[in-house]
Amino acid sequence: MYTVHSDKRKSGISLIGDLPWGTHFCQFYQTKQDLLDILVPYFRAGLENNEFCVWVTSEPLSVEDAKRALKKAVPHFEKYAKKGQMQLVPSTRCHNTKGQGPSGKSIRSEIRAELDSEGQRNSAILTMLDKAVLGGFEGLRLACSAFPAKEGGKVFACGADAIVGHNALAVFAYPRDRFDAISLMEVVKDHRFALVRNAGRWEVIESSEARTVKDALKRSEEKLRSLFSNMSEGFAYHRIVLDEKGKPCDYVFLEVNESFGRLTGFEGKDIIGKKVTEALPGIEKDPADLIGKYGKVAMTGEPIQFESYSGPLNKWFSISAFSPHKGYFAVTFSDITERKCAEQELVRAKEEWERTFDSVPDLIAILDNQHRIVRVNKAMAERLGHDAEECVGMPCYRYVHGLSSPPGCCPHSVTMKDGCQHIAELHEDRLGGDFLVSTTPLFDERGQLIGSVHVARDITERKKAEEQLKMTMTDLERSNKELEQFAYISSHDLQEPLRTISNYVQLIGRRYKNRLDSDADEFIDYIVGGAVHMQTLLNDLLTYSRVGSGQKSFSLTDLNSVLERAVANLKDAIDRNNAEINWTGLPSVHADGTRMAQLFQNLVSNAVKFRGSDLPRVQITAEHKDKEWVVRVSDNGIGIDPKYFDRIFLIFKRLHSRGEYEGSGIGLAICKKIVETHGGRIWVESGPGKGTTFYFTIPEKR
Amino acid sequence: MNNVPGDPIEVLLVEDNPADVRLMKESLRDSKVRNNLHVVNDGEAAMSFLRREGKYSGVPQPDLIMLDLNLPKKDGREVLQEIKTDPALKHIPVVVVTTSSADEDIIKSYCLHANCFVTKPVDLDQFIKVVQAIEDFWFTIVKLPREGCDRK
Repeated sequence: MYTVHSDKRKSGISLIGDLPWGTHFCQFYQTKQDLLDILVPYFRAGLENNEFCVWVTSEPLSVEDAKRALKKAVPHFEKYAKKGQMQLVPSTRCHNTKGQGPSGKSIRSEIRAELDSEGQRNSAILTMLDKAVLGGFEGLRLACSAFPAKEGGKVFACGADAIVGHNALAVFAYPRDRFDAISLMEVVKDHRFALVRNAGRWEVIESSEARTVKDALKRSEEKLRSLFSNMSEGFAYHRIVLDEKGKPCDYVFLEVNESFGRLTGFEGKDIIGKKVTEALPGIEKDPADLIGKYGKVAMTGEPIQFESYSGPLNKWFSISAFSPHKGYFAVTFSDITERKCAEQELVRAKEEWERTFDSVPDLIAILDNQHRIVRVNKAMAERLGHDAEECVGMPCYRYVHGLSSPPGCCPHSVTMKDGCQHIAELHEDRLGGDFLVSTTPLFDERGQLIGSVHVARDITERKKAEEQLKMTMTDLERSNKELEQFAYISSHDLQEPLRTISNYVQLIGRRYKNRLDSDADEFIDYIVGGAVHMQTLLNDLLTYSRVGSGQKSFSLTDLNSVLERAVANLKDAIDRNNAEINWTGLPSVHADGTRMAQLFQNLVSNAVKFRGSDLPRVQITAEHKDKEWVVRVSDNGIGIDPKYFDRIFLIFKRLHSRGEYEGSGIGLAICKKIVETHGGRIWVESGPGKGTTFYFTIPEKR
Repeated sequence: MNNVPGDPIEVLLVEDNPADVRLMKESLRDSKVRNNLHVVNDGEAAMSFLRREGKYSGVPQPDLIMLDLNLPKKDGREVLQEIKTDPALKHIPVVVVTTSSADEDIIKSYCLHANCFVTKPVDLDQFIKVVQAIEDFWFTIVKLPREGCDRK
């Protein structure tokens, strides 16, 4: 334990020997010599042991007398005097002080005034203690006159209180003549002991009361000392420093324990006697206002307890401060940085959780197993039109659904029964929409089901879109059916009258052969030609409508054999044109073989039909790319102007007159439909006279 | 000549379109084989004729049926099915003569045991050719049964 007042001090008086700090005793004197007998060796010991010595002389001893005696008794006295270690102060009650005159606002005059004033003596002693500490001395050694008894009153040792517990020793000098035996004992009781001259010899009188108190004090002091020394909390004992207005402005470290050093990083021996403003510069400006807080404790005696962050040490401390004596305070403190950080982390985590909880757009309510709302997030509170706090404790079925019991479809009820997560789609008019509700069970640490997290996602828009989609799908299905029906009707019912017209016009032509002129025969030809073309169109339309409808029979299909079949079907046209059809390494794909054959047939047939002057050459290859097959059918034909690329895939759109090339203009429309039915795309690359390449894709897997 | 000379072939034409009836009659008029063409205009009448019900009590059983598929009252497919599941009638060859060339009509007809399926051509010459081909094949080339399966 680093301390400045634990060590024994030499009293300088052989009769007494060593004395601990905080001791005050008294002397009864009758003559100058009595005072000198005791106080000269007393102060010699003080000066030689680096103590700040203050001697307030008592009548009939003058300052000069005292100085002369000291000079004589103390070797190198001038040296001490020069350092200001020895202060000789005449008592105001001395008659011979007048001659000295006022010496300005010197320490001496201050001390004198205060030490001699009953009310101010305590604080004057503390001021001197500060000066002793700040002057680099180990403590204060004081001698002063006791106050004479007031009229009918009691003589008392004013200022003794300020000595106890401090690095101070004091002698109070009482004029022997004023005391009878009883009052002498009274005086002795106020001090640790008294020095009295009896038959030419100095004797020590110790009251039994004082002894007992001393022993008890010593024991308790030792106990306390060991306690403070060994405790894990930091302990420090300070004296407060006041500014000229009496306001606390600093404090001095007087004593610290081992833990103090460990917790603050300050070595006890370095900090003892230091002002806190030196040890921790800037502390006076710290908003924690420790100096102010401790000042209040030291001046009022009211203990405080608080937690404080020390910026310079980057630590949190829990601090208790109390004042054993006015102007002094003791502090015990412990490092709570870890706890504080954990607390802050907890707060931060809680805030983060709350922020997250509230930022989720889904409506979240935590429900207990009685359907009561434990907590709702912002979205939920807003939708309910209440503050989040208002909802707490309300049964959700009443608050949310306006019912007297949970609704039948309530997934929370189910979760409370089976402890599993449940998801349901609900419509709630009061919340204005459709919701996808999930309830996830919550268990306490013992595994008891205590509630659920009820998350409602607003799916009103999605629902609407679904309804819309369903309606569109129904419409589409109906229109598809109608189209198929229409196509079928086209093949039957539209063709029948067409055939009748055609047949009978021909019959007329035949029956009335020689009775009609050549114009009539030509007209009849046109009617028949029109009817035949109409029939082709109707059949093509039927074929087109059939692609993508009805049963799809997808299976692993070898495109090589499919192409072979298509080429076989086109044998006549290929032979007629001396066309060369080549293909290599076509894959097997998941497809409808018949439709694939039709696709190839249409493409190859086009390639041959729209040939240039060279012999037609058609090349079919396939390439695997990004999970699909790209099939390429290229020819050396007349090519297609890119501006028609969009048009060629439309039904009945032709680029050439029937006189140039036959066909209804449905082939590529059917190709497109077949490819799309298989989940692929079809496109063309070409230019007039550059040949044409058709590409189509077939997904690897469907 | 496979049939007994002098015995005309009885043909039942089930056809609702009078234009086609007429055309058929025109086409058969010049036939080398003597034939009696009976015409009914809907499916129900066809079945009554075949079962000799009501006003058809005295009619002969036809040797060949020419059946259109799209008929009023009872559809041609139903008629076909009834004929081919009736032990008294199923031996009679049925030639489906229709406007349709749709795959499903062709498949369906053969599945119901039609004896052949012919699409009526738009062109008159083709039409006459087709009727003559039917006539040649069924009246002269093939042998037709004289009686049904239940009469042994």
